[in-house]
Formats: sequence, C-alpha cells, structure tokens
Amino acid sequence: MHEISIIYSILTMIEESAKENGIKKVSKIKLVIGTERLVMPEALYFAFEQLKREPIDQDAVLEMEERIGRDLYIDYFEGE
Amino acid sequence: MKQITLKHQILQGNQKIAEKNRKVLRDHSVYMINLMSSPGAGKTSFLEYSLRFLKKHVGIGVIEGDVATTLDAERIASTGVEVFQINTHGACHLDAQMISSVLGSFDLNKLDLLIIENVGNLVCPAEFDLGENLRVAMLSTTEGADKVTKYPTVFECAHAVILNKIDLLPYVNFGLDGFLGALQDLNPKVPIFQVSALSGEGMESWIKWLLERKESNCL
Repeated sequence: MHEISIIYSILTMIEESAKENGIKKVSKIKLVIGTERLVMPEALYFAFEQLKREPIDQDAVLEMEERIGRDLYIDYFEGE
Repeated sequence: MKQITLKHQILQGNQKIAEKNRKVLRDHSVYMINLMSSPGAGKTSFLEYSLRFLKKHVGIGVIEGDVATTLDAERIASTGVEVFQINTHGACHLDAQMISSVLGSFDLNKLDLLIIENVGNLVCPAEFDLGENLRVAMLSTTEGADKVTKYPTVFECAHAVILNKIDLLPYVNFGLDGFLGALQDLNPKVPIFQVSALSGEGMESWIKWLLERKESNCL
C-alpha cells in the first residue's frame, strides 16, 4: 500500500539524480519490489502515470522486478 | 543514452527518523513498545489493565494513535499515566516522524517505558519502524484464527503476540490450535500471551515478561 508515497519518493530521487548526472529526459525506471512489502504493481503503475512530470519523466516507462523478500529499491534508471 | 545505477532503498526517509528516535530513547534509557492490532481487538483495555500494575514499578508514558478523537488518550489519562494523542486525520498508521514530534513532549529523564498504541490496522503499521524496542501484535478471539496467515507481516515481525478476549472462547468459533499452529510456522519463537483484559486472566504473565524483557534490554 501507499503506492502514491512510494512513487512520489521515487520521482524525487530520480529527478535529483538526473540533475546530478546531466540527464534531461528519463526514459526508463527499473524497480525491485519484494513480495513481502505489500505493494501492488497495478497501483504503482497507476500512481506513476498520475504523478509523472514534464519534461523530465513524462515519457518514462516503469519496469518492475518482483523478488521474494523485503526489498524495495530503485535499481537503475535510463535517459539522456 | 546513460544508465545510472542507484540501488536506493525507497521509503528510507522513515527508517532514518526511526533510527534517530531509537538513539534518543537509548540516550535516556527509555524502552519503547509498539502495540498493533485491528480496531476493536482491545488494545486500550489491555493497556488500561497493564498500566495499573506497571506504573508501580516503572515510569511510563503512552502515545495514542487514532485517525480522530482523543477518546483513547482520555481513557489512559484516567489511569494517571502521562499520555499524548496523535490524530492522523486520515493516515492509517503512525510513522517515525509523528513519534519524533511527540517525544519532546515527555520528560524522557523520568520515563523508563514508553508505549505506543498504534492506529487500529493489521496491515500498514507493520511497515513503519517507529524506533521501538518491542513490537507487540494483538489478535482477539472474536476475529478468527485465520488472521495470522491472512495478515502475516504484522505477526511475523512481532516480538510478542497477545491473544485477547480469551474469556469469550466458549462462545466463539475460534480455532485455538490453528492459531497456535500458524504462529509456529510464521514466527516459531515468539512468546504468546493468552489473556483477557476484561477479567485479568493471563495478564500477570504478560506484565512479568515485559518487565523482565525491559530489564534485560537495559543491561
């Protein structure tokens, strides 16, 4: 649950890192989601579509890898 | 096209504040408990009973968490124990920041034990570290023994499990063996206290265990 807070945290972290690395447009964000973290992928996709911002991540695609356990982290992101 | 590897934990904000809380409590030798259950399991009644005995031995404070009202804080205040009410106005759990903002309201030098009664919810509170030493999960006999397997996270991460309202066992269809078996699978070493906060049955064992646990933590 709390997918909106999770996406908000993710976008804030990504946008900060993009600025540090000279990336103006993010094309992909890869997450690792643990099965025990009670996070619903569908709700995460929905929240992502609602909270994406021009110009930096408006066209970004969210990819999720499910793993057994309690992980919940941003693996990497891509852009130029 | 650039790829930037982050491996950044999400929701680490809460964890950082929880660690700060943990340090403040450690510096003042205060032992903190996070009591979680669904609404109506009997957390407040359980605390009302426990506090009457605990306050004879240790300095106690209570933090009450509810979406709205000060009803629970008023009940705790009647026991003579210092209490602060947090109203989340919609949030379904307490988080470390909320606890951090209330810690300063207590004179931590006078406290040995701080008990948080979390918002009634068997799902979300388990995900938010508050900086506590002890996580206590409560179920009552009127809720059904299958709740352990249906809501595993809160029972898996518990340091103690309370089964409340055992005075009602003759009248409800609660599979005690199933409940104990499910906990054995999920959290085999967890101490289980079968109690009635109403009649007082089983409460002495719980209070004794808590005081011993607190003492051994401070050594």
